[in-house]
Amino acid sequence: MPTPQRRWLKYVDAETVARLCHMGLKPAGLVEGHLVGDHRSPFHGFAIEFAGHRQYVPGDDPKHLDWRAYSRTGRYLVKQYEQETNFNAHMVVDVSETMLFEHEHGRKIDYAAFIAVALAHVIVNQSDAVGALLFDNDIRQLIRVSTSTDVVANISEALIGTEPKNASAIGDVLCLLAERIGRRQVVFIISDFFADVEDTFRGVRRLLDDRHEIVLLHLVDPVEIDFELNGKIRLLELEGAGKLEVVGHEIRESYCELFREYLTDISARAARLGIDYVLCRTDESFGQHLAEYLSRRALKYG
Amino acid sequence: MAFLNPNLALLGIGFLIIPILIVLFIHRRRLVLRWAAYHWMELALAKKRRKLRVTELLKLLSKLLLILALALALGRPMLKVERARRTLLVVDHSPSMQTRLGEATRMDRARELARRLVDASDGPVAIATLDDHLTPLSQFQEDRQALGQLISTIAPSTRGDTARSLIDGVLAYPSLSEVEQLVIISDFQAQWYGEPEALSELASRLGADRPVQLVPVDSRTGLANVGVVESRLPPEGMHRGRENEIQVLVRNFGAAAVMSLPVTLANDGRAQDRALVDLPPGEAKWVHLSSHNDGFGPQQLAISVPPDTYPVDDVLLLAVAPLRPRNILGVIRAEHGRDGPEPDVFFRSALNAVGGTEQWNYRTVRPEQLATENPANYDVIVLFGVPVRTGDSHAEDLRTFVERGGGMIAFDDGQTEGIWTALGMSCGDISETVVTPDRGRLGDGCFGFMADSPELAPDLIHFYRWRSVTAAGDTRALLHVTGATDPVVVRKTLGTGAAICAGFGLYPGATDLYYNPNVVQFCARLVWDVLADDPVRVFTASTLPGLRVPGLDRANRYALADAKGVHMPLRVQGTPRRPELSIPTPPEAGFYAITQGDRPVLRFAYNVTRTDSDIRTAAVELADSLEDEQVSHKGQVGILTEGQFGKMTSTRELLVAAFVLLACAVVLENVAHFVLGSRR
Repeated sequence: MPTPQRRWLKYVDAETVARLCHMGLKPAGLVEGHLVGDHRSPFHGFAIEFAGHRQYVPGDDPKHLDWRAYSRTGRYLVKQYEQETNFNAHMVVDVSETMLFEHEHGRKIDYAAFIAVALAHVIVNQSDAVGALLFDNDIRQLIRVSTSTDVVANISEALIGTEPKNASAIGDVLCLLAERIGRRQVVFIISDFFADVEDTFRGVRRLLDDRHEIVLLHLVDPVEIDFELNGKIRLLELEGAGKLEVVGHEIRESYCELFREYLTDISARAARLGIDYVLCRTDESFGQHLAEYLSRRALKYG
Repeated sequence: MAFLNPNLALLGIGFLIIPILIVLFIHRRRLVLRWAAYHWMELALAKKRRKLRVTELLKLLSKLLLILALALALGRPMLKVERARRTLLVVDHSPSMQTRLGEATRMDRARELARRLVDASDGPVAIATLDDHLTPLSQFQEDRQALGQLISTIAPSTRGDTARSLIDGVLAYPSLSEVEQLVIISDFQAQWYGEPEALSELASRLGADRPVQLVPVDSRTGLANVGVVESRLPPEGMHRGRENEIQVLVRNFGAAAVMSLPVTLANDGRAQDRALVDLPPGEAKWVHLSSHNDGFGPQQLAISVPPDTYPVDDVLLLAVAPLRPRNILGVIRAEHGRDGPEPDVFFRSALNAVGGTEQWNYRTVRPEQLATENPANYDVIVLFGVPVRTGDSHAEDLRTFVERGGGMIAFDDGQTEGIWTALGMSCGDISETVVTPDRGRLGDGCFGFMADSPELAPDLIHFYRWRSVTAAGDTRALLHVTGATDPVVVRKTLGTGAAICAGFGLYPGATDLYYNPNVVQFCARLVWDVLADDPVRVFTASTLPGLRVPGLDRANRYALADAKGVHMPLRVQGTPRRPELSIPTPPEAGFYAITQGDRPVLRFAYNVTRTDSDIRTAAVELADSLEDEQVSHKGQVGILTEGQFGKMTSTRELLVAAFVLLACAVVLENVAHFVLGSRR
């Protein structure tokens, strides 16, 4: 049992984090950071990595003229260098009421917290910056990006202290986020995405407009996929006051068909937009999901 | 729809609450979940709701139907379309109803049938008894229990019934206008054999809309059709210590004359007197019997006439009829010194019973006339108590006759050794070797034997299931005296012929053998065994086209099977009410069986020769077929067999079976529901 000071360790699975840190996380494209780092920046300048020559134009500092090139070509050429920077990542965690769902494999909110903390650890561990945003129908809590290891504890504490109670408005929240975080950052969205799909992807597209890299981590309980329940069941709506009486074996086929259509729709939309989509079944280890994803990502983006 | 047990039907309908309780119970045991993917569940439910509702409805309906089936089954519905009829049930309790049918009497059987009829009837029933007049026992009522108790009280009467008593009684019945159906349970021995016109008259007077149904309790044929019509005690009453004369009026209801009919008076179960009467058809005679009253207190007098004393199992069903008329010569002793019928009365009657005068040319002569007869003109010569001694002139004639293929039967109450010696045959092997039956071959109880009396008293002879008993050599002992060394009936072959000697005489007046239905078969079998090897037609029961298959049903498959097991399919023809089995002429002589599926329901022999004569003559199924025989009547009269009024019971059994099946299905479904619903 962690002491109050160590409460944030609740969502830290040290073994999994260690394994994931070893794998690392590289952004898929160019990122705009504030610090010098290991990742390619869209900006060019006069640093270490030579990028090429360009024609001298009036106003350029003459000290950047490449006289060797002038001797060979007789033209005034200026040396160009690539800028390398760190990246900022955001853990966008859904803390709406549907994330309270649990059946046999724990709450989805806890599963999401484990994922967010683990990813934050990995990012901070490689000197990149990470922040977090907890949302339901609005931004519930915002943790600024930081390269400090304290940010992990802050994210964990924030998740521990959050009590899901509202419906999700993920589309609006993602649009708000886009206005706050600038450009070319990595955004991990951890949610069950039970809000309106069209609205969800409106927010996603807004983030893509700012050249952010987006990763959708879709949390689903197995019973939500397979509905392996029999007999009479009373279903109480989590984000409302609705009640349904169903007989498990009678409704299963119809429900599963609709739910799979929904999952297929989300993954297809993500694929169309070129963003990563990870379906995380809560009956399986989150470490396994993340390891597979990071491994796949490493292969894909080098 | 009417119900025999409406209270039970109401109780069953009350069970309709069960599925509702089950549904409520199942609904209470449910899992409650806070559900995140609510939107998709709502969509799925909206999509399936209509189908689910129909399914739920069908399930509930099936459960309610199930309970309804139980209610109907308990209520015993009457599925007849026609309205309930008011039935007058007439139970014959005349003396002839005391005839035994195995362990029970006809009266017992009649009471049982009456109870079943009352249970199966669909309307009010009134009960009346019939002897020499019709006695109403109850008004029309529907209380089956009370009617059943009333039926149990019906006891045999001492007054005989007549056709006139029935007709007059029914027409004078106080509530005749209410009667819509008349059912008569009777042995129909007295009234109806030979008198179907009487029944037609009753039916026509009742009208076409009031049918008369006959329920026979005993449909055996070939029995003496004689009944005690009336009996009178001494006018001064019964006195102890002296002979009391009792008068009994005995009537022959049959179409054939009976001779030397023994009428026995028993006092407290002990036979005290017996008289023999000759009765032409339709006539009645007063018989005087005496009873010695020695005891104190009430005594039970019983008068019995054949065939009361013979269990139904004794009926043998072998009928012998030659392919061509046979000539039989009976030789009767002139000086037998008895009044009454000739000693060949039994044999003559037997021949009449199994073939009639068309088949048997029978004539009798005295022994002294035998010399004037040419034996070659006869097939069989029967000696009734005529001694044959060595050196007699006719002894040599008889020997020659047998050697040339004739058959000889000799009844002699002395030692048969003299006859055999006179015929020039050795019988040492007979006297020295007791013939023992081959029980392994015969099976249980399938051989003829004398009653286990130390004396050879002919009136104690009972012929049980008749079978031949074969001994070593050519000796065939047909009957065997238990505990004695003298075979009773011996058959020997001589030349191409055969002779049979029976060690007893068929004396009229000393035996009621004739009235034992078995004696007909016995005498027929003697002729059968003594005839030459010419084929003779053998049928069981009656003629081949008239073979009746018990419980004939169009729904079953019948086949004609021969001894080799080859089956030939048979077609059921006739009307649905009177189905008939079309039986083709068998392709060859032999023993055949009519099978229903794999089960033989009737056996018969066709054109078999004497050497094939090892017939199972008393097969149980044949007795059953006789029981199913119906008496033909004219007019608006039908025969109601037990199976017909048991159909409603079958309906209930079907409903019960359906209920059990449905109940199992529903219970299983609910158990599965419960078990699966418990898995969270």
